[in-house]
Amino acid sequence: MAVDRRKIAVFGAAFVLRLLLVCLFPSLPDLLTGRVEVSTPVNSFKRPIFYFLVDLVNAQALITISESGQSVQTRLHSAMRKHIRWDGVSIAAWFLFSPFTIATCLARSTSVFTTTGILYAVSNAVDGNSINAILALGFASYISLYPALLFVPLMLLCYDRQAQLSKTPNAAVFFLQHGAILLGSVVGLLGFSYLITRNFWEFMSATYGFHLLVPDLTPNVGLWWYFFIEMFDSFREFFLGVFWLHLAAYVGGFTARLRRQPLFIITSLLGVFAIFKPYPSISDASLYFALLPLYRHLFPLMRYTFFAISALLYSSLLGPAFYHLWIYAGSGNANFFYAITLVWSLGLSILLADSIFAALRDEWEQAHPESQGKEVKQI
Amino acid sequence: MATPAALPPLPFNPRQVRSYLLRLPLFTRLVLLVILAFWLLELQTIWSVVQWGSLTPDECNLGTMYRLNTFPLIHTGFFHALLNAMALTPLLERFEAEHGTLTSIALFIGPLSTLPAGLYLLIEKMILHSNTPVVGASVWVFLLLGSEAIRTFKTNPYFSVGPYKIPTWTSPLFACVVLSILVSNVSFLGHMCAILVGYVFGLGYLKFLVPPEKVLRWIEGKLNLLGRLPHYVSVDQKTYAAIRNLRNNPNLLFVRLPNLLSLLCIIVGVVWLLLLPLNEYSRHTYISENALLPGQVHAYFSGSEQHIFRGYKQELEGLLSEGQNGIEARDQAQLTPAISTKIQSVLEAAGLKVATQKYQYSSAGITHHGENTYGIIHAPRGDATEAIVLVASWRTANDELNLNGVTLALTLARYFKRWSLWSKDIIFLFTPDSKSGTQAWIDAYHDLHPASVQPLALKSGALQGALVIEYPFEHRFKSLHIVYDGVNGQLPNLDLFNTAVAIAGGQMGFGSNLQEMWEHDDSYEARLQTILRGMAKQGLGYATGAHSSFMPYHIDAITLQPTGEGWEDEMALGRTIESLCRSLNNLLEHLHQSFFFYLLMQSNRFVSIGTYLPSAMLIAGNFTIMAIALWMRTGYHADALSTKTTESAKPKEKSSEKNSDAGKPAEISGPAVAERLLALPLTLVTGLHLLGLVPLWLFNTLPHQFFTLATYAFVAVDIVLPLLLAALLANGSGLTSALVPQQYLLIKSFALLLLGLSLSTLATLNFSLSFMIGLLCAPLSFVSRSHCPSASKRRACASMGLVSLNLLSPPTVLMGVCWYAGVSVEAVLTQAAFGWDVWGMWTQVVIWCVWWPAWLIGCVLLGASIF
Repeated sequence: MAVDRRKIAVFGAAFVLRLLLVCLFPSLPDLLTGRVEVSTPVNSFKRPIFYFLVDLVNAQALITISESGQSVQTRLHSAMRKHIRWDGVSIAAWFLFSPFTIATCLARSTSVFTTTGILYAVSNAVDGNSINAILALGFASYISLYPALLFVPLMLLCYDRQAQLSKTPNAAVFFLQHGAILLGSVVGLLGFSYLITRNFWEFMSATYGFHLLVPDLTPNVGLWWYFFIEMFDSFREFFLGVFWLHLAAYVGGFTARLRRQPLFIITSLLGVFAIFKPYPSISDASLYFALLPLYRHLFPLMRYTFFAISALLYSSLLGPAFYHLWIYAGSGNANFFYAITLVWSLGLSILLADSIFAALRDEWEQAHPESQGKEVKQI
Repeated sequence: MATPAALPPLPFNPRQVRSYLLRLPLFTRLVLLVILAFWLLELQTIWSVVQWGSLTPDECNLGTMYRLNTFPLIHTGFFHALLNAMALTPLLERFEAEHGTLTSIALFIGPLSTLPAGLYLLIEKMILHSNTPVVGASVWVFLLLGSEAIRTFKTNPYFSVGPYKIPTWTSPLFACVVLSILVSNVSFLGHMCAILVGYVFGLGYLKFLVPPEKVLRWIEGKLNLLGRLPHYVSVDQKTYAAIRNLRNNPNLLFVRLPNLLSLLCIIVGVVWLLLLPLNEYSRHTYISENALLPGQVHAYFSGSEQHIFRGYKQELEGLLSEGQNGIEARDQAQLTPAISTKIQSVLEAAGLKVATQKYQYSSAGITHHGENTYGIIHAPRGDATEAIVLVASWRTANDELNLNGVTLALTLARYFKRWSLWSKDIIFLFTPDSKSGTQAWIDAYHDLHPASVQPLALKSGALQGALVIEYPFEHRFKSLHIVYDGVNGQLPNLDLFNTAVAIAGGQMGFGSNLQEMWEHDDSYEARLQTILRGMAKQGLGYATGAHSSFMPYHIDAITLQPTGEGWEDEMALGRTIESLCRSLNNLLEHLHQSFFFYLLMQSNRFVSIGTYLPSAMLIAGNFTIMAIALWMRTGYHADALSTKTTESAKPKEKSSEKNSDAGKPAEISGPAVAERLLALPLTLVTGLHLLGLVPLWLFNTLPHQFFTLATYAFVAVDIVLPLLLAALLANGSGLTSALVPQQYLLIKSFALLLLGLSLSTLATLNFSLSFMIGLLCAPLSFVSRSHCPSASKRRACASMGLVSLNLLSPPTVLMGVCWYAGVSVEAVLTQAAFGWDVWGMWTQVVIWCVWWPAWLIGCVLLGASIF
């Protein structure tokens, strides 16, 4: 029962902390809602409370994912350093006490619902409930579109789990079946939307069209806005295609290379989304940071954690400062803020690349036990 | 063993040469002496030393084998000897320092002379069949170069020239070829042989020739060479080893080097600031915005306007003396409703639209309230989209009665109304005081006012600039004092300041002062003092006048204060303001051309951010350097210790893991990097930073009469709390296991990382505050838990350190500064609380949430050495 007590303590503390922050600094939620780092055109939704509970629900999903052990032991792969890992409650604590999560929660960003969808999709997948997983993914995709890119790795995860828990299903049938369910769930939700809004095409262009065509170039922590502000209009469509293609291309690459660790593909893709999606905010980063501790056993293999984290810390302090200089004090300009978003993305990219390096190294050490712990050189 | 890539630089400084020569080891001295002796011998003509000792192939037989050893010591002339000696000395000195005197003697008298000589003889005689005699120490030079080159090659295999990679071991060959081309009579073959032997020696194939250390030690011990011979280098002495082993010496790399670098950063940062007043680092001010055209218009405010001024003044004075008499009562006069009504009637009579605004603020248990009166001249040639503000507070920033200032503003309002040339609206604002009135007005102007402040009934366009008029005395003035500091250290565009200086100095012909430097002789000291005063005001971030409230809204504003006893009257000030308004009226867009970040050292000299920012950044950087070094050290040190500590710590860890809240990483490590125990350090550092919110909240909400008490209480807390925390950490006390040294290092690393982060961010917003806090925190880089084995010594050191750190704690520094400045602590804290509540000042946040936690952690680490 000790574990349960800890869980209650962590959840309670996280709840109380949020409540305290709101009570002590009543202006904080409104302040955060107005911050470009948190709030982008696609996630600001100004409705109070119950976001606390959503955070706790997300943490519960993380615990489920962690306790399944899928991060260290999959059907096809077993990590070298399995014993180095944190338990579910610790990972939930990382998520709940991460300043990015707290800021997102207090800012009442709708991104938390996407987060819930994704986390529940993954947690159901590791539990073997592939139908539920797909429905959750459908929900997340319906809200934010980009989670649809997670379909393939999530399917791999479901497939592996099913093969592990019961019997190996027929791959083609399995994929087609679940693809149909995803499509069905999204179409169903869209149907509801149609019933409510009645103006389907306007609804589509205001929601998914907005995601796809990136019409609003309000600054955010991502890399798109500045690029598209500077872009000549005649090239806009071309580069929109290129940017989306770039984002989608990681799915194929990761899936092929890291086939044996589907959960790691999902984690890394979430990292990629946090960097390269059109309207990223710190909530995307917080989701990535929530899943990363599942790979605690890879940390000893990572080389630049301190520098990446320092870069992230620096940019999360300097970002608001430079935004202030640009917008309020008038003594800076857009380049100040843009430079910091570059540093932020660089920090995330280093972390992402380093974790992938560590995962590959882990696989490689498995294949070459004699070279364990030796220096590596690219050949 | 690593080798420095380059040879030590030639000693150019004569004193250095002397000390270098005095430190030369024994064998090197002997060799130099012998070379000198042989050169002197050669001067006589009876016996040719060269012929006797040179390495002549044909002369060599069993009887003249001595030539194989003597030839390096003999030279053909003075320059030959001198050049060779100069080249040989550093190389040989290094060799000897590294290998010891006895080894050097054994090698250089023996194989290192005979081997190249033998090789040379072999080739010259057997293969080339010629007979070129060679002499000179260059054989040793090239031999040593060859062996050094091999060692360089091992650590640093290539240097790149463009796309080509050249192996470093070839460098002596190049030197040999170049020398042969440049200098005649040089034995190419001899040098090549020497280099070859050098390579072989460097590769370690000649190790067998080195006498065994055991024997050397035995000789040394028996003969007591170390005691008897001066400059003798013992076998055990390894002077260069320390430098060469830098990479393999974690103590030097991770402990001493970062300390040095941090110290260097701080020193350079401070020296950098001290250099700023010099002509080389500062610049003349200049008007960057061409539209301003300062002083290019004639100012007509004079003559008859003076009568109107006197008339208005009399009317206002009349209201003052009603029911009040005596100079003192007059000086205490507040802006009564009667005066406010009078001002309104004057403005209305002049044809302005007039409105009032009531406001009320409460802070630290004191209520501030008042009523602003303002009137607007609508621009005859504008569309009411832009406006200039003229402010006259009834009481100045120094709380004096600003009767002349208010009267002048009224007169100007009537005067400006009659001109048709304004393209911007002009707003005349009359506030009861300089602290809160303008703040209430400007907040309401932008609809960001709190509930206790009335909204404005009348508004105009975007504010382009604001001028505050102060004239709190009756006599004539000498020069104009310009106050420009805003809240939180924000400054107005430098162009506005420059325009005021240019108009005062050029058009009006009187000087201008800044930062209360009444006597400025343009000396280094005066400039530095001006900069420092500016930095103090900027760093504290309080409002220095009615103009300060405008700055957060990106409205450039300055206060004009006439000072001194002179010949200028209120009309001169009026003309200055007229001219300034005309310049602002010319603006086509918001002031943006010139600098927003600057340090002024005189009315016409400044340094811009690019020049001064590095000093604060260096000081902030010192913390980051330390944090990185500590982080690397925790990964490194434990590496060596891990096998030992993990086993002993295992049972403890297991028990702690159950209790620890955020979960602890397991302690088993990979071979490369040791595992770091992050949970507790992270929690502690975050927790202490959040703890800073408590004093922040306290000092902004307590009633003002408790401030002094609270400060004393905090001095006490600062003494007790670190010790308490240190004891808790050192003993564990059930909450967690006792901390291991690595965790102390991690705590320090995180604390310094956060400090460096915050300060470098702050430096971009408020340079001075970052610089001051950085300097006050500088000792924290060097404070850590001491490892002295003797407990009593450790405790004594820690106690002394704690006492001196407590002298640098935020409340102590506050009391010290108050004592120095002669103001009461209560007054300062009341002002600070007012700033927090009304001005939006955030100096306190930096003090309690950045400085105080960092300081606290420093004290905890020091205190941990006691337990």
